[in-house]
Amino acid sequence: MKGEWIEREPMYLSFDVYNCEYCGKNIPRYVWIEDIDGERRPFCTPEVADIYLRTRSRNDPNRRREDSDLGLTDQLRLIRQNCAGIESEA
Amino acid sequence: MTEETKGSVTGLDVDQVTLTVIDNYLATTCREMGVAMMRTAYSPMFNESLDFSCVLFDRNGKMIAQAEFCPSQIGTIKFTVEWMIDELGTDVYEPGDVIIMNDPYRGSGHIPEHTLLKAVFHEDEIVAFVANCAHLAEPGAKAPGGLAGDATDIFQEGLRLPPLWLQRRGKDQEDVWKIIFANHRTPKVSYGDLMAMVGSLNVAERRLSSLIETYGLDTFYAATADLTRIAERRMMDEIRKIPDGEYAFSDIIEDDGVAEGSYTIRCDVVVDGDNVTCDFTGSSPQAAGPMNATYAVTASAVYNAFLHITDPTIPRNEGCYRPINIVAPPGTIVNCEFPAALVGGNTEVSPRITDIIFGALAEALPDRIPASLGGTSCCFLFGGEHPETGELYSHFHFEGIGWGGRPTKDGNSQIIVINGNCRNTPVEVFESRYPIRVESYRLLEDSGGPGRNRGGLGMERILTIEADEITVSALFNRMTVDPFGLHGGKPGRNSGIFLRRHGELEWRTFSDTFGTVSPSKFSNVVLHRGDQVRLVAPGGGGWGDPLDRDPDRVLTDVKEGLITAAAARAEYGVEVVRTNGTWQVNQTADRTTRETTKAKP
Repeated sequence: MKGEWIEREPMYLSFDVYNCEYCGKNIPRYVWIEDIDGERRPFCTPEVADIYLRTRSRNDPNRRREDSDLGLTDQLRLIRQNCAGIESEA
Repeated sequence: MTEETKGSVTGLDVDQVTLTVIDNYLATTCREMGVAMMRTAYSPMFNESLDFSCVLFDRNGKMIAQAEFCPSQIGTIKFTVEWMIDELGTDVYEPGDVIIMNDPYRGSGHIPEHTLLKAVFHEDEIVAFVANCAHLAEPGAKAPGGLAGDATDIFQEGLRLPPLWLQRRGKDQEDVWKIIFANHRTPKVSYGDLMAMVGSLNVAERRLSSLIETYGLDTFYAATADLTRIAERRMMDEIRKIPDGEYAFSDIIEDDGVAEGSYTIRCDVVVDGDNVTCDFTGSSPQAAGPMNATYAVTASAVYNAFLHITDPTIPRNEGCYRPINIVAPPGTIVNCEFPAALVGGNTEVSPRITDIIFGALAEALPDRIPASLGGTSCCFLFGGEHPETGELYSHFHFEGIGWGGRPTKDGNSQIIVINGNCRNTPVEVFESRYPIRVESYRLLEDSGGPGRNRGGLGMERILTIEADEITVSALFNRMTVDPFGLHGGKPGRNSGIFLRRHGELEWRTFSDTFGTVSPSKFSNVVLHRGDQVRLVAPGGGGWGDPLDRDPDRVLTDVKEGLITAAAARAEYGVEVVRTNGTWQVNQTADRTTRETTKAKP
């Protein structure tokens, strides 16, 4: 994996919106940027980027890889554990 | 806090009585905020329709209380406030500061919905945030009322405000107000409504300060943390009652107002122990027109679905949302990317998503899930120069619809869409504020989907224009795609918006008359005195086989004018006849007889 954390700064002259490439959530400030095939793609965390690489079709992020080693329920369990804002206190 | 006063439930720091008192106090504070807004605002959107929500947050921006307001706003505001605090930071507020924001690409629902945020201080420290969100009837869009059914980017949908100081230390930031009012067609109304929102925040600030003075800051913090944990645990308990599994459902958004072609929303609902994930992978790419939802809107619609089918006594705070997770791929109709138009996402896509969650869980929870509701807000917008006052006016009108038949009851008739929880504008207010006369307003017989439990009825309203010129727009859905029935129930009847030009007899669609791409989504059509508009709200889908409906209930429906005798025979297989002025069932009630009756030509 090739990536880095960045802190999004509110800009006047450009408006950058970062949606996690997997869960889709708008990430307000701290974004993990993963380099995938030369493209910089945003994620909630590095772990989510890893799940994305293992489960998503590279050509169409809106489709799942059929040969993924993770079933849907397992994928989503990992996403729950790693995407921003989902933190249990119970 | 002493050991004696600690709670008896494992892991809680505050005793149950104190928790209950504080929970109710917080919810009541939200309600009081709403009353303040309703009574002091200028527009019918606020004081009649109640298209607003009031919410309390802890010092970290996590929701600690809400009340019975607009579900779509309550769900999105947690993202809105999280963004505002993240973007601005937590150390920039002073007592009396009020922040405004309405940017959908920063977590808001759509541009007309403005969120105001205020920090609450106790001994020079921020101890909580109070916020409200409300739909301004005039956001400075290309169409009066803001919901342009044919918008192609966000810039056509109104003035987009990033987080800005509306007040500093209780004083208006005049430069900001000037920019807003320079872009609104009705600045006086916007001023009144925004000041009502400010007043509502002040009410909440006083109430929270009073609570903290009574119980102390430590108890306040401990109680709100406990209430959040309780809400999370109880929601997890509710989800655990749903059988584990992967449940899928999809439905259609019929068009986007700018091009022909429909859009699919697909969802896999994955129940995994005490958590659930709703994954919208496979939904259509984002629309060219305004029928797109943001992530916050989609999440809000999912939350809404689960709050409808779980225990209503769970405290409504951040905790009850935590076990519910959403995957909404960017660039799709359920999570559009900047700068897509999206104003219809919050009014039309949102209820569809809630229905899709219901549809997915229909087999898993047959005793709890209703059939589809009419599923459109029937947005009808208009504006112009009032012939009596010479002032500009602008209004967003929406209609109630039929809700889906339920496992135990018929669907409700003529209730605002599930994401709204609003009221429509009374005829008297409508006619006194705007140059439009309401010719008729009635429930539409046979519009509820037939079923053992019938879908609720939609309605018909006919309006006559009483100004030389008025500009109208619309954003309807379910005009061609039926509200679905469940378990053998039949679909509800579709929506519609039609026009009869002055002096003509025939009702026609706006596409037929003006060439709009969509008959249900368009903007800035100019009508003239004497023209009439006919609004038709859809019915809800039916639940269960109509042949299983008790004939006495069919008879009652005919007597009350909810269905016709012809529909009683054709849909329910019940022959209802009128003899000596009295309706009665004219056959035996066995199923074979009903099937025979239904099959008659």
